[in-house]
Formats: sequence, structure tokens, C-alpha cells
Amino acid sequence: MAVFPRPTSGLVKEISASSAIMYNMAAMGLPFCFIYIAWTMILFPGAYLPITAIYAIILGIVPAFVYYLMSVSMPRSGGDYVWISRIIHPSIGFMVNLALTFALLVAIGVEPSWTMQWGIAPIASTLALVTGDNSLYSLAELLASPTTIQVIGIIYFVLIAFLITRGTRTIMRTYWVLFAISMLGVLTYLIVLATTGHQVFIERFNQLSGMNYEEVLKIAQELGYPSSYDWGITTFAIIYTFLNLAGFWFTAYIGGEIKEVSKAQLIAIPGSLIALSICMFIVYYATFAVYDGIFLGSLAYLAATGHQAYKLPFDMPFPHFLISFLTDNPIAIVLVNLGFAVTPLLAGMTYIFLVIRNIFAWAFDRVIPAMFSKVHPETRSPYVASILIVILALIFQALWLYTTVFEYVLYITTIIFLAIWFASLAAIVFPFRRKDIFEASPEIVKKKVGGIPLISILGVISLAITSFIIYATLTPTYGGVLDPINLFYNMLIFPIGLAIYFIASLYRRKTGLPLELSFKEIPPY
Amino acid sequence: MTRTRIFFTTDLHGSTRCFIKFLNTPNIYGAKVLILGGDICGKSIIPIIRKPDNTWSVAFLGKSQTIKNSKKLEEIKEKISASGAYYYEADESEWEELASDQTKLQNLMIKLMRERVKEWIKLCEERLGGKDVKVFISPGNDDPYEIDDLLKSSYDNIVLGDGVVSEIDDKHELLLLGVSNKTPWNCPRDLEEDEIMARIDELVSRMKNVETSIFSIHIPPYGSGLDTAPKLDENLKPVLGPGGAPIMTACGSIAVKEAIEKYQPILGLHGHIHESRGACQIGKTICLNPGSEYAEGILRGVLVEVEDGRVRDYLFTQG
Repeated sequence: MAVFPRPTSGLVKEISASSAIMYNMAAMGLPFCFIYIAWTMILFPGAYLPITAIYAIILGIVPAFVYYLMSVSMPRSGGDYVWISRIIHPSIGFMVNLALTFALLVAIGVEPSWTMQWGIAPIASTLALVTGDNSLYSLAELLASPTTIQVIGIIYFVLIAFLITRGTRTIMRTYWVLFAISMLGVLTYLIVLATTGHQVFIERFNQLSGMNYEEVLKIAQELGYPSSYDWGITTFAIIYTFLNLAGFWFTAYIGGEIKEVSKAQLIAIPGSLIALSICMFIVYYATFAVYDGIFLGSLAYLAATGHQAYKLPFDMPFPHFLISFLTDNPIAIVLVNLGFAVTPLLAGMTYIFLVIRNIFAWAFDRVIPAMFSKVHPETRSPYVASILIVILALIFQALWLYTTVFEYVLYITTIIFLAIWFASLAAIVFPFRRKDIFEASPEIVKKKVGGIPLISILGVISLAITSFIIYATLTPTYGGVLDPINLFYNMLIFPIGLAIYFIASLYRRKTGLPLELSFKEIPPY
Repeated sequence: MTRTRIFFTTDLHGSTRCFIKFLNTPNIYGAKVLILGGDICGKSIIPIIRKPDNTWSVAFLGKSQTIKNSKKLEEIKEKISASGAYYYEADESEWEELASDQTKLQNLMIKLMRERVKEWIKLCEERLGGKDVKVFISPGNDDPYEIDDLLKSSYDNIVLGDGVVSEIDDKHELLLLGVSNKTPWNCPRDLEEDEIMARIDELVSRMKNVETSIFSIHIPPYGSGLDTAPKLDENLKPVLGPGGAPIMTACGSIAVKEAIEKYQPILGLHGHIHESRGACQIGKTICLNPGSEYAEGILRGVLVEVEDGRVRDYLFTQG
């Protein structure tokens, strides 16, 4: 039974379901968990992290389905910007989207630093550890210096600008290559852990580190670090695991470019959440089995407190650095660290892809000047928005490297989860405030449980979950300290967003067509 | 002072869902002039196969399904129409016979297109006939000439046709032309560039004041950025560059570009290249292409306010 098509032209959508799930997983960055493991074990002493990956699936799946259903109901680029604007108010949609864009811009500026400090430089220092070649330590120091990072950052951002001009398919292919390197690093890490084990680690640690395994545990316990796992603390330690999942919904923002959007978003949004959580569980489990979670926490604790007993050539004993205490194989050491090194670059590229589209969408909606929606006549790339982002990224990078301004943006995670909070709120009221769109949505969106729309029920649960996550990001435990001044600065982005929208709205109302018209939904009956 | 709000959309390709949204735009956007700038016919037939056991099978949106009751059958028919495709109910042997005979299949396609155009005109007349709204609907290069005899309305405020000049208010005239330059698909209304220029010249000669006019020409001006599409090879597959990305190329009309440069209307409204949504300026003329996402049921459009011979403002919409 064939469909009879007639020859005509048509729109080419470039992102497949497999690229969509890769995109979300790349935005989340599995290897980031190496960093979060050490940080969590300092801030939540005695947490048993493998369990938190299971909790993360349970907590994340509801917001994931909220985003999936909303994406199916309004399958357009812009994600929550589109549906919050239509369901609650355009000003709120813009405010939330601006805040998310700001948070991602901050992260973009930091990415080259993470790559160099925790990916490339450690290749030299871990090789120094196994080869005894002390000149490699100097090389590591040079690679992690602010000047090197800035040069690499400039090259990175210029390359991204070039890639953007090559179109979506080239960008997706680049993502795939970097994603493969990133995952190869994790796979190598797991293979090394699986083929060595806890005893090998203890022996080589004692032999190479200038420290003693038992001594580390003893000193840390004397300083108050626990000697066993604590299940209560484990519950709260989910925060960093959940932070590692930030990005599972990012394809919602590029929905207009995805082929067969209903199927692809199901694979991409809940699918990426589940896939990354399972991968995280495996990495956590292997790490805790081979290094021992309590030992890792104790070691990180000594590093964080600057204790003289800590003698490793790294500021923090991230698990991928410790690979040198399991193998001498330079290929394995390079692959694991390189896998980490590409992860921030890749994540940053996914953020840039998204942020440019947000700015483009605001300009198209005339909330900001129309010049930012200009596209190159040959490549269709939004070059004005791209130039703006590259300039902003370079400024943010310089601020991170040479100033302490970034202390003020401690709460970007809070901002990111506030975006989900508002999206959840929109989901709750969706069937009641926009009955027209709800009734015209696909069957899966219109499902009811006990007479109540499923999307509203999921919205309520998602709202509760994100409220907890937001609360947790504001606790002193999360950031080491609760800084009300910094929190105030961070939250300023929300009223700034509202102010920009209302100024634009007033201006447009006076000079032309009201902005709100572009957010109107038209009934299909 | 004469100020008029126009809603322009294009390339609905048979999507009844989008067409109904188009008819609802006066209530939502307050538009007084509605223009549908071409490519109104659908692109494919989805067969619904009647089975001997009183069920139906259909493959739609990449999914094969068996339909067991008439309520579900109506639902799937509605979904197919909403997407822009045509459905055709037949038993297996009838469909096999049709599918093996290109002429019969073409005739069926024309018949289904005509039925949908009739249905749309009826809907348009029922909802907007005699109202304080002017509606202009033009075919585009994809639309066969076999629908042209249907393009008439019993209402003065509904103007249908290809090659039309009409007043939208007392200050602004509209030139409506649904052609394209030659495409790789040899579509029905593909013309040579000089033929396009001749048609535009002829239409302009019928205008009172071209300087305050609006051109709604299906094909965008060449090299305007509103006409960028993947370059195709002889098998109509996108030509890929070294990085695997499709090479993009301008495929608009040189004649349209030259006509806009020559006549300088206040506004050019275009479509044809669905992925080239955007705005540009050629001399004093603002040219707009709202793009199209008809298959998703999304009505992409652009609102334009014209006032005393100038474009006061424009705003892209998607609803």
C-alpha cells in the first residue's frame, strides 16, 4: 500500500530522533558527573550516589513528560517560551526564556575553562604521575593558565561561529563526533575500572601518590568525615545528580527543526533522561566499587579543606584523574581525560545552538530589534544573533577568568529549574486557560485520569518536584553557603525580562502592531 | 488617513486545518484583508484500504494501522485532510489497479484537489461572504490549471484567481500572481523569467498607482534571502557540501526582483520556499516570506499594516 506523492518542493527538517536524543545527552554531559561526584561527596558526606541516579529517574520523568506532551501539543521552536507565552502571558514566557538564556550564557563562558583545567591539563599531570616526568607538571600548569584558556576560548568561539554558518546538518555531525569522543572516554574509564578493581587501586595509590589509603580514611574521620554511607544524606545528595540532568528537555526549544516531532521528542526528552540516568548509575556504581565512595569523599574532603596530608598534583581528586592509579596505559589515560575535555565544549555548543535560536525568536517576535533575526542569504544562518552570542561568550569568559563577578551568578542552577517550574505551572492550567489549543491537541495530550486532564496532574507533580529542587539549590549545603545578596542579583534577571517585554510592548503598541498578536493561537475549527 | 491591517499566508498545500485557521484570522488578529498567496493544493493521496472483514488499513505519518469502526475512520480522514494530504477509500484490488496506472492516478489526484478547493471556497463563503473583510486567494506554481474554473465566488469581497489586480482599500491596490520560475519539478505554473516579467508588466498596466501598491507574487525575488533552498542534483536530492550540510542556493525569480526594483511597490508578499521565512528590503519595498509549516497544522503568516502608501509595521505570526 503506497502513498502517492506528486512532485513538489518541500521543507527539509534536519534533526532526526537519534540526533535529538544525542543533542539532549550532549547538553547534559555524562562526564560532568566526575566533577559532581567529588563535589557531592564533600557537601553531602557519606552519600551513596548510585541510588541518587535511580531517584533522578523517578523525579525527572514527570517533568520530562510535561515537556514531551507540551512539545507535541505545540511543536515549535522556542519550547516553553512558546507555550508559557500562549498559556500564561507573553511577558512571562519571555521572562523565563531570557533567564534561561542568561544562565546558559554564563555556562558557555565557563566551558573552555573546564575543558582546559579538568580535561586537557590533567592529561599532562596524570601522565607525569605514572611516568615520573616532572616537566609534564609545568606543561599542565601552562595548559590551565588563564592566558591559555582565553586563547583556546577565542579559537573555540570563532570555530563555533564558523560552524553555525555551515548549517544545522554540519553542526549535528560535529556534535556526533564530539559526543562519540566523550562517550569513548566514559567507556574507557569503565573498562579500566572493570579490568582492575579495588585492590589494584589501593596498591597503586599507596605506591604512586605519596599518600596512604588507610591514612586518608583515618585523617578524614578524625576531622569528622563519616566512615559509612548515610541514607538520609543520600536523599538530599540527589541535587548534583539532578544538576547533571539539566538539559534533558532542550530539544523542546528546537522542536521546529526536528523530523517527526511527536515520535522524536518522546525518544529525545524522556529517553535522554532515562538513558543518561542509567549511564550515571553505571559510572557511579563502578566508581564507588573501585575507589570506594567513602575513600573518594575523604580524599576530596582533605583536598577541599587544604589539609597537608593531601599531596595529589590536582586541586581536586576527580575520579577521572584517579585513573592513573589503575593503569599505566597512556592511551587509556588520554582517552578518559580527552573524553572529559570535549564534554564542556560540546555542551557549550548545544547551549549556543539553543541560545541563538532564542534570540532569533525574540527578534522575529519583535520583542528585541528585528536586526537580530537577520539571516545570511546563502546559508540561512542567523548571523547577527550568532555574532552577538560569540561576543557575549567572550565577555563572559573574560569575566570568569579575570574577575570574581561570577560569584554573583552562583544560582544559575536555580534559574534553570525555575524555567521548568513555570513550564509546569503552564501545564497545570493549560486545559483550562487554552481550551482551544488543548482540544485541538493530539489524543495523547488530551488524556484524562478520573476526569482530570493528565497534563494538569503531571504539571502539579512536576511543580512539586521542581519546587523541591529549587529549594535544595537554595540551601547552604548546595553552594557551601547561602548568599542572599548573590541570590538577589541572580533573580534580578526575571524583573529585567519583564521590564524588557513591557517596554517593547508599549513601544510597539505606540508605533505599530501590538506584540501580543504574534502569540495568539488560532482555533482550527 | 487610510490604515489597513493585512494578514498574509501562503503554501497551505491542502491543509484544511490551516485553511480554517486562515478564515479565523479576522477574529484573532483584527485583519481586514486576508491574502492566501498560492500553493493551495495538496501533495499526496493516502489510500484507505477497505478489508473484507469490514475493517480498513491505512499508512499515515509512517505508521500502519487497522481501523475497526467508522468513528475512527472519520477521525483518520480528518487528520489526513488536516495534514494537507488527500484520502481515498478503495478496496485492495481497486487501489492496486490505480497505483499501477499513472494516468488514472493523476486523474484521481485532480479530482481530489478539485473537491478540496470546492470545499474550501464553500467554507470561505459561509464564514466570510458578505462580511467587512476582503479575501484574496491565488493558486501557486504547484496548483494545476484544472482548478481555475472553480476560482470564483458569488461574493464581491472574496476574490479568487491568478493574475488579479484589485483594490484593498481606497489607497492601496493588490497585484496577485501565482507563478514561479522554472523548478526541477516542472510544476504547472512554472514560467520562463521573461514570461513572468510580461505578466507582471501587464498586471501593472492595469493599476492606478503602482507606487502605493502591494505585490503578492508566489515566487520570491532572486537573491533576497527569502528564496534560499537546498541545491538539488539531477535526481532531485540535496547536494551536500564538504561537511555534509546541504549546499544552499538562491532560487527566486530574477524577473520578480527586477519588477520590484523597477516598480517599487510598498510591499512584496511571497512564499514558495517554505524554509526561507524572513524579511528584506529592495529599494523602498519591504518583501516578506512567512514560510510554511502546513504539515504540522501550524499557520505561519505575517500581519502588515499599511497606511497612506507606506508600510507602517509588520509582525510574523504562527498560530
